[in-house]
Amino acid sequence: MERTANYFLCVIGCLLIIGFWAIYSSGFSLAVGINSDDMLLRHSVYLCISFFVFYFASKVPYNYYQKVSGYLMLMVIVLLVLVLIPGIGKEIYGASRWIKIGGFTFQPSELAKVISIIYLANLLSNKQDSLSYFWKGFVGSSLAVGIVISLIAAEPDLGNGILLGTTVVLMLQVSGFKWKYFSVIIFAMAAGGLAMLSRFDHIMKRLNGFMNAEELKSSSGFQSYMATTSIGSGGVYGAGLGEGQIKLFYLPFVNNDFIFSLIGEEMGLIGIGFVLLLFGFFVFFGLKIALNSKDLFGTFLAFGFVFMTGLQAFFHIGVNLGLLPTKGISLPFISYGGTSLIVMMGCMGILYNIALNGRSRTRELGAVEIPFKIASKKSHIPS
Amino acid sequence: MKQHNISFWCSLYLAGLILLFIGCFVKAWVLQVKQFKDHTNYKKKITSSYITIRTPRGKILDQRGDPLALSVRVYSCCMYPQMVSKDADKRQLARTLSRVLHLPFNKTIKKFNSTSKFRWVKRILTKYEEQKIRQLKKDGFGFIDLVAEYKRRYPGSKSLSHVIGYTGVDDQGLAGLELTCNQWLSGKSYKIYMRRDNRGNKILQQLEEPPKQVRTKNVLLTIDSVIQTFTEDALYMMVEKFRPKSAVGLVYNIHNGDVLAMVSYPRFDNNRYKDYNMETMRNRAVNAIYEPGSTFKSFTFAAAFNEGLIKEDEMIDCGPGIWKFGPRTLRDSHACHTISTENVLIKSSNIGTAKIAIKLGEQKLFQYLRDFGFGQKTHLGLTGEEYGIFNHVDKWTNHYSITSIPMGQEINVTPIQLVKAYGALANGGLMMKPRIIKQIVSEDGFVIQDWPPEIEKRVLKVETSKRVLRILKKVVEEGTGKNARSDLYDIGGKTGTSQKIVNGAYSKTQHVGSFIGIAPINNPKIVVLVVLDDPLGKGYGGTVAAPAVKLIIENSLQYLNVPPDKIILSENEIEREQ
Repeated sequence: MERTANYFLCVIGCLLIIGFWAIYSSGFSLAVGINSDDMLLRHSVYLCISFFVFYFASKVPYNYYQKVSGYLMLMVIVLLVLVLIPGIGKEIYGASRWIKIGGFTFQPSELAKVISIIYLANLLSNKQDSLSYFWKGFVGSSLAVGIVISLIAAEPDLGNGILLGTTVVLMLQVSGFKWKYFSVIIFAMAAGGLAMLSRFDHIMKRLNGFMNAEELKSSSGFQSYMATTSIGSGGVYGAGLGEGQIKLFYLPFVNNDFIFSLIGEEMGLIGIGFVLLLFGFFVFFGLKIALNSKDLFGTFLAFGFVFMTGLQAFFHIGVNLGLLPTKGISLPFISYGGTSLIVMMGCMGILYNIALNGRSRTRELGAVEIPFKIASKKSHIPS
Repeated sequence: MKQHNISFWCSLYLAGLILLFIGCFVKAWVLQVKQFKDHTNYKKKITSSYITIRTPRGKILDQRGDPLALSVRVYSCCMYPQMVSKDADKRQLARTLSRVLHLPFNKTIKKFNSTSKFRWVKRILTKYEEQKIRQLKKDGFGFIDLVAEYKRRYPGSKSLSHVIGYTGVDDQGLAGLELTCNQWLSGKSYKIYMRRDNRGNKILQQLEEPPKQVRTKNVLLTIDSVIQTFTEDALYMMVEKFRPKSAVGLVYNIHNGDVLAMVSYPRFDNNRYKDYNMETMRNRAVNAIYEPGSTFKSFTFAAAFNEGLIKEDEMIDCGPGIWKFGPRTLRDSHACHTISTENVLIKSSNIGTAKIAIKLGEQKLFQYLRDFGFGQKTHLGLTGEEYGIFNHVDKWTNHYSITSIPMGQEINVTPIQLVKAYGALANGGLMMKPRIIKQIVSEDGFVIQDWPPEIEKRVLKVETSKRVLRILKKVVEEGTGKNARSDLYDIGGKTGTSQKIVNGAYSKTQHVGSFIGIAPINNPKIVVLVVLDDPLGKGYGGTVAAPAVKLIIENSLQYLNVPPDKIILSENEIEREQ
């Protein structure tokens, strides 16, 4: 398993390098007299911290989290409530997502996503016997996580809410709950979604802008259209490193929500292909780690992390390519953002630990055989 | 019931993710390959910007490359009336501004009350005014601004001003070469394309050389400012002495048709052309017509020689100074009686010339004079050039025209026509196309356009030319042009004194005195013409013009390094030699 773990590390390393360069390039526009913060320096600090976090996370045996997951979950709920209280939470662009500690801001929802997955993985691996019970099993497992998702959505941070919600639903499904239970969740999500749509005008606008990007390129569809223009103008080989023009205030948050556009414009189809390939490898090696985990907790945890990260990457890329409506979601490992990066690297540390503790290579005879073995060992689930 | 397989679902979902990534790649391919052009064009449209840069008006240079006209950067003051704050005391501001710029208060206050966005306050400020305006701009006059412009300057001021002309305040040529060469001279504007961010800031990536079409073009003239100065000095010397109404001086290179100097009097300063009236600003070398008088006789002789009708030593009876030809009575100033043909020209006998012309016949005479270019424009490239007056042979009056035209009456020429025709007499019979614009050159000296010397046609045999020159030499040595005799060079030439027509009759008191000289006569190089219109006194060309021609020839040929024909040492020099 060490080999897979190392490949996995290589993939992450490549993504971080691309991210480092892309942030440097995007900083060009910000450096022209507006944001005097040296973004690259800050990013370097975040990178250093995230390396430490990764190192420690990879040293801690992951089963340790099973013991503390309950407390962690409680802490996250408290933090998310604190964010919503005016005065403690820092409001930027109409959303209070940040808590300011010293000179750095901290985004609890990023942490909440990870802790929720740890909590749920623990619950699901312990409750394999009660999978067939709706109240005890299904509702019991998803209650706390549901609260977290609602709190995130209330910030409002719809992107992270949907991300966590999707991951949670799939984790529940993977663990073996009956299909009919999910109708409840789907109903709840639909209701919640409708309520959101009517509440937030800007969501409707964005949806409209997304549907008619071409016609509305001067108003609500502007960002979506700009992003596709930016990528499209890159061509196969790209405009060249640092040569991108859309970052000159044509798109907001180029260093974060639209960093993929920057890569597309400056590195072209080759750059985009490379980034997508890296994420593909990330998912592939992540899957290997999940399947080769020594216990179910590891499997669920790895699946949760990998799926959530991959889905986030897809959301970001989809928005940038005009496949999805505009939503501020950062690209894992590449976008600028301290909390996100540190938390993400913490996850990767845990994953690395799972990989190192996976079953030895001698038993790893075929990718097909082993999953069945796990399944037969641990999940005899009568229906 | 089927057994739930965790691994299967894990693999399925994550494989789904990979499929989504592949989908993303396909979409990226569509954007970047299929729709590449659309996106690139749109991006260019929104992200490109440009600034306009004006190149200065080209220079006018003389043959030696010295500037005769050039553009210098100056500032003009403008204002944005809408930027004047509502509660400001407009009268006070206007008073201050008009005091600084020496403008009438009424006009200034009108500009303050204007509703337009932009108004000129004063074009082309002096250095002092510019400094004052800069100071005012800092002290609350935020609505005024300085705009850099180019102002035309003529270092020679009154020299060559008729030839060069002048430009208007918007840098457009209005007269002279400034007008005719405007297409090359005029300053052009070009755009430098650059990127622009979404806040309107322009980003210059690299400063490129301006494109070839907009680079400054200079006009190189055939005028030599040294010879021009010689000509001016000599002409003004005569002008001071004889006070003519107007005068013209021309120096012409017979071998290539170059106009080396062109002086017109009265003169004006083209830096301040508004102070002069149009009459003063006429370039008389090309647009004043006059009766050439005796200077014109040479052409009849040339034609007759060329046709082989006469010989130098053939005797002609010129009678007692009066001769009736049909109804026409011709007079000579002195009775010549029977003289040789060459003496007819040397003594400038009207009767003799008329007799030769009659021998030549109307048709032949007309044909030759036509070939010499009379009655036609020379197309020198100067504004307002005249045709002259030269009637077609069909319209000639019997007996009168055939006797009048050979002696330079009943015909009007421009000085440049005469000089051009004499050039053909002197250079062996070739009509050269006169030129004053030699080349269009770029700022770094490359020739963009060139007008090489051009032969129009041959009008005389080489032998004829030599025979005429021999006689013209004698005109200066022993005839009417004695005043042009030089100690350095052998000069040939012909005087001309014609009566001006005043109220339809030849005036007894108003003359046009002229002298045209060819030098050095044994190996001609230049033709010099000096014409004085209505000088004081009798106005004989030999008196009023010949000395000036002599002076111009002596100075110019020495300047052109032509070896003197004769070396006459002064007494001091002889002593020193011993």
